[in-house]
Amino acid sequence: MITAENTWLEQALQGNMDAFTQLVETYQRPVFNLCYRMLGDAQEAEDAAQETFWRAYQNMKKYDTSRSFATWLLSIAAHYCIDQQRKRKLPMVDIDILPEEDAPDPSPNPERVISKQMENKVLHRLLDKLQPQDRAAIVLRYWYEMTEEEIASTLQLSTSAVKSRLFRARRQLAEEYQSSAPAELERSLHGTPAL
Amino acid sequence: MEHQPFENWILSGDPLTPSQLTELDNHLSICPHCKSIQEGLSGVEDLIRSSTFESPSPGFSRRFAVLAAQREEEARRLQSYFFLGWTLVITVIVSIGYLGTLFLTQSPNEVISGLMSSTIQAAFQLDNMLQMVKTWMHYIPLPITLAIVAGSASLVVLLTSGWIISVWKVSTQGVKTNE
Repeated sequence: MITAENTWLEQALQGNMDAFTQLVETYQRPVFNLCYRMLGDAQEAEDAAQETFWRAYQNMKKYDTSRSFATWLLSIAAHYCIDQQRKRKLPMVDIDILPEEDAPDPSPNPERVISKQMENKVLHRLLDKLQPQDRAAIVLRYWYEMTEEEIASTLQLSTSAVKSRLFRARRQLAEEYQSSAPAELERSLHGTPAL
Repeated sequence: MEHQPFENWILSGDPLTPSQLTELDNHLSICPHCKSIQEGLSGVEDLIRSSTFESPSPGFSRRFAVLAAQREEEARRLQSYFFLGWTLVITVIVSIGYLGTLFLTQSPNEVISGLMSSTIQAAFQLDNMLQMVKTWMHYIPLPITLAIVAGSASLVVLLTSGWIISVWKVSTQGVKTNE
């Protein structure tokens, strides 16, 4: 079936920037979310997502059309973010620079908003403890519901390597969570003077 | 206490059979270590489930289009600098090679006298050409002479403009390839 997306893809393969911009519009959200979960900072996620699309545009000729375009993009984004994380140790995310929630609560409740922000902060702190490739595997597994085979294809690892990375990451997350997260979440809710 | 296979069951993420689930529940009721891992993982999975799928701020694709245009411009400029730079390098190398050969095969006096004689010869040739033109002008009608002069001048202007435009195109748009 010929869809608008297939047409844009075909035109983008021939170097049409306008068609590629349409693809950017379509896939900006999954790519940005992956970068955000990998890097933990909205500005860095924006830069990484832009870089991902630029690299994709430059390497369109290498894109295998039998593969899903979204998976190919996520693969570029994951590798870029893994490299970025290896280059430097990222600081903890500041709650002031968190991006806006995608579906804001229709009746904004300050307590709920702060609670969500703290949960996000705890989540990023937990993810920050993981090795870059383990983190990528966890993000792809839980946010994108990819199978171990799909993760292996995206991260260019063997399925058994993905299994062992997920296993190790889950153990580390569980231990880190048990050692500090519940107390941290409790403190954030009950220790805030404004509440 | 033996924690296997219970740890594997908790952390592998694979679905468990009803009998495995019962066995795991029984183990968790007596093993604080495995219970802590199971609770920790549930807590993390709850946090992930309650997190949102983040979106970039509005105008992402427009910002990408601007970035792509800047990067393409940058790439073209770099390519043109590369092209012009290599042209300059090759010209310099050829000139040095030519002058080097000249000075290696002849003495400086010979080179200077050769240059002077070439200059004098060129001046004589020019003078001869002017004499020829003056002679022709006696025989060829004035309009034809003017047409020849105008044609030659146009050719020079055209070639010069073509060269200037080529240099300008290379410096602003880079070298076009078939890729």
